[in-house]
Amino acid sequence: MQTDILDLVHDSIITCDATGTILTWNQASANLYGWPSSAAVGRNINQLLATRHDHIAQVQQQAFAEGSWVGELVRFTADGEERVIDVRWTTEQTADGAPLRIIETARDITQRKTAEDALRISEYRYRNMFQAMAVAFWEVDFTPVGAMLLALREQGVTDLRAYLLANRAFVRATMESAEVIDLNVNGLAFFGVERREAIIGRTIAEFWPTASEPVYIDALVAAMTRQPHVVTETRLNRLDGQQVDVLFTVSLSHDNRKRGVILIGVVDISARKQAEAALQTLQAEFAHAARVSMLGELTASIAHEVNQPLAAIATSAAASLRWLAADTPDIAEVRSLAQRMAADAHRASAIIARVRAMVERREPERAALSLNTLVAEAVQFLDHEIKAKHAEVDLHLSPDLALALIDRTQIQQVIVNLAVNALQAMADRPQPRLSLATLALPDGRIALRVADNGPGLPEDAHRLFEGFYTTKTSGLGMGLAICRSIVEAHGGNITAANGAAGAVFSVTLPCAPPVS
Amino acid sequence: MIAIIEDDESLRPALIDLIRALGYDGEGFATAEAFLAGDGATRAACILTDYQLPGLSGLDLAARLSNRLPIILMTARTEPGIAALAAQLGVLDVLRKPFEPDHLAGLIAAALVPGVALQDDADAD
Repeated sequence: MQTDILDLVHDSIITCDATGTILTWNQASANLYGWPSSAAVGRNINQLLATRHDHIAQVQQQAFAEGSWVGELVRFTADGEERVIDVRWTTEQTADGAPLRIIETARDITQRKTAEDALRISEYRYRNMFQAMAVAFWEVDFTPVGAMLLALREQGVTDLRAYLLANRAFVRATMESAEVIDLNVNGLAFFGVERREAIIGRTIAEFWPTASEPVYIDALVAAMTRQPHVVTETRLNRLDGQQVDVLFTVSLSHDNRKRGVILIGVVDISARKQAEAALQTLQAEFAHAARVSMLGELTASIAHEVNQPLAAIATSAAASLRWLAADTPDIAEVRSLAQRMAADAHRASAIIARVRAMVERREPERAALSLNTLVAEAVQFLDHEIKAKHAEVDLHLSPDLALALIDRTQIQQVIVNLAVNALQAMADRPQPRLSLATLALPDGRIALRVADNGPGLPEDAHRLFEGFYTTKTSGLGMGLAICRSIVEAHGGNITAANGAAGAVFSVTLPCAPPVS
Repeated sequence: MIAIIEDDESLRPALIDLIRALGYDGEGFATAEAFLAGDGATRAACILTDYQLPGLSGLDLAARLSNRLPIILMTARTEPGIAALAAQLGVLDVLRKPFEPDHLAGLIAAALVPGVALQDDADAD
């Protein structure tokens, strides 16, 4: 009867004798530990559940001495899973004071423990990070600024951000009224000064380059719209005038807000910025080397393309000379030939210009461009190679493609590289068909698909994008590795798969943020 | 008539002009197929053709005509073997683009010597 009632309780309830032998075991215990009552009763509780406690016997002794014990124990279920158990013991003694029974109620707190541990670790990390990263803290008195902003609101300014962006003199005036009231040791180091007095009392205007004003405006807007904090990257001036890349945080806690004080945290990230810039330069140099190498593979095509107008010019010139050598020189013929020669010369120089743009070594430069335009240009660039391979080209350019923030030369390089690979893969096909499609993806990104009807990808296709991987007899095998590095530098990704007819390479790129 | 088979839209009219300036009648075709489709083969006294054309190549054309007409082949490519193949097929000469127009004039004159000079003007005289 007693057992039945205990089975209705959600907590595990177990009774043991003084030696730990299990006397009763309710349903919740069976649920918790995975042992049915029949398997548990009569066994030693600490053996059955592999209770992990170095001094469990002492704890029991103490419990009998004091009448109760509360604590956490780690035990294992029938399946061998570890559980953290919140345990409450009540003990009973015989009339002459000898230990009789332990009544245990227990609850599984494994999940709560895990969450607590995670919190503790994250707090620890957070504290550590602040020390390790050498955050420079300033306290700035924003009381006058708050008054200025409130005055704006009273004047009827509703879109604060737009107003501030348009009225930079006002923004400067707010900076000039915001005095630094304190800063920490890291703050001194950051600004390159030794004594607090060198900074305290100065206004933040001195530290704020004009180019970083939008970040300051964001912080003001956040303060006015009661956001708790702002984290962003910007550049600030040191006292010696040197500009430093910083991670900039503003804490707008309730307490600080009441005091009219803003806590600004600044971390010097110029080293990281330099590393990023170096990486970008390296990536650009690799991309350049790959372009030059790719053009090497296209030399025959390019020579043919330049030779064509040159041959036309030479031919037209010869014809002109003959018309001029006649007894009555045919000026009309010569004029039309001269016009044609000019057009052919223009065509030759346009080809040279395209090749030169490809081999030029220059700083990568992002602009909002249409991927469609770049695909069309790449096809034009490869016009002769396509003809030479007797390939048909299917172009499916999505009419509603958002612009992407891309480096023209590098993305063109990716398109040309994928197209050249496709053409080479189809060399043995009777009817090579190169398909290039652009699409607007549902998630707002844009994509390029380059498909061929060649033999498809080899089995070790996962290695395609690794350096020095090649299935061709010529070339270094860096093409696709460079393509990937270019695409990834643009925040996109590139994949390869087998399609219905041959290989399909897909490039996905984020589109440019809308211009405000 | 001298048939000029060249797919390049600026070289073809330039060649027609040169042929005319040399005193011959020139007719242009963008592909070998276009040339074969009409009565070009019966009217032409000589063929000036590009090697690399969409569809049939200049050498394919030479193989089809099997020495019925003198053929001058033009090419911008550098593959070895084209010249040897061309010689086997009885092609008169292979001109590497860009070529010397005077050389072309000499080749055409030579091509027309043994055959009947099909100059319309001469026939009319």
